[in-house]
Amino acid sequence: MLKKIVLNVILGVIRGFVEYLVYFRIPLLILTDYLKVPVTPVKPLEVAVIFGVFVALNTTSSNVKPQIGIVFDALSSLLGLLIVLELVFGTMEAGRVEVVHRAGELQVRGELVFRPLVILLVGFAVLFTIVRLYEKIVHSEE
Amino acid sequence: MFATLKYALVIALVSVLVLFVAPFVLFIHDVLENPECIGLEIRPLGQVSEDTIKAVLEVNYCSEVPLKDLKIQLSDREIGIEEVKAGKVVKEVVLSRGDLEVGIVKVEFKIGGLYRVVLEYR
Repeated sequence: MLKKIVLNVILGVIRGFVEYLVYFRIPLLILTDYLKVPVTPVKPLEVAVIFGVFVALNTTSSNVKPQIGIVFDALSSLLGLLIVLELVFGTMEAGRVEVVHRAGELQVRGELVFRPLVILLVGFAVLFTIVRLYEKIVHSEE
Repeated sequence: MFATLKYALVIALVSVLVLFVAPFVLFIHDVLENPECIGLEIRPLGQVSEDTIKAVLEVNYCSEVPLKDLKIQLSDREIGIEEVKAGKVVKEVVLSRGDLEVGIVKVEFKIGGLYRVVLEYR
């Protein structure tokens, strides 16, 4: 029994860590390092809270009955989606990057809009969430 | 059943992402390789009336990724070209003297019809 609980906790921590990477760390890395979008620095405390909430939700989900676990899974996925949407809509105004360059009297404003890509990614994230929850429901009925 | 569905979804996501991102990556690659990849030039041909001039707009483009909905804004005139492929596009236009004096103030196009780019000069 104890062994099962410990295993479930480890599984929950791993899943929480993976969701933290997928929904927060990797999108942030892509935005700041690859797209060079100026993002307001996230405080270490906020990072710790995000990580902690992901781990807590996933650990709880692993340790309760599957029917109840679905709720925590859904909350974890919704939190992830909320973070991605906040990063995308908050820092990039829904897939838009603007750069202003000044050279003497001439000012050049460049704007790149990549909304179709953002919509595609959000759509797939929703689809994955639905499949995961449906899988949980099916397994809980078996 | 769900494992197969998840794999299918991952494959679909990767395929669609490649299709979506490839035009952008190719365009950036071509522009970085050749900074003069996109060239816009307006050459006056002759006078039509006292205030209007017949001119030719020449667009030189080097990338294989087509540019869609190209719009070139002059002082108070907008010239639109539906699609620009690698090579040269020439269009005859009638412009006012003011348009020619001010020159190009804004260029707008969509890379592969997907990513809108706006360049404004002030």
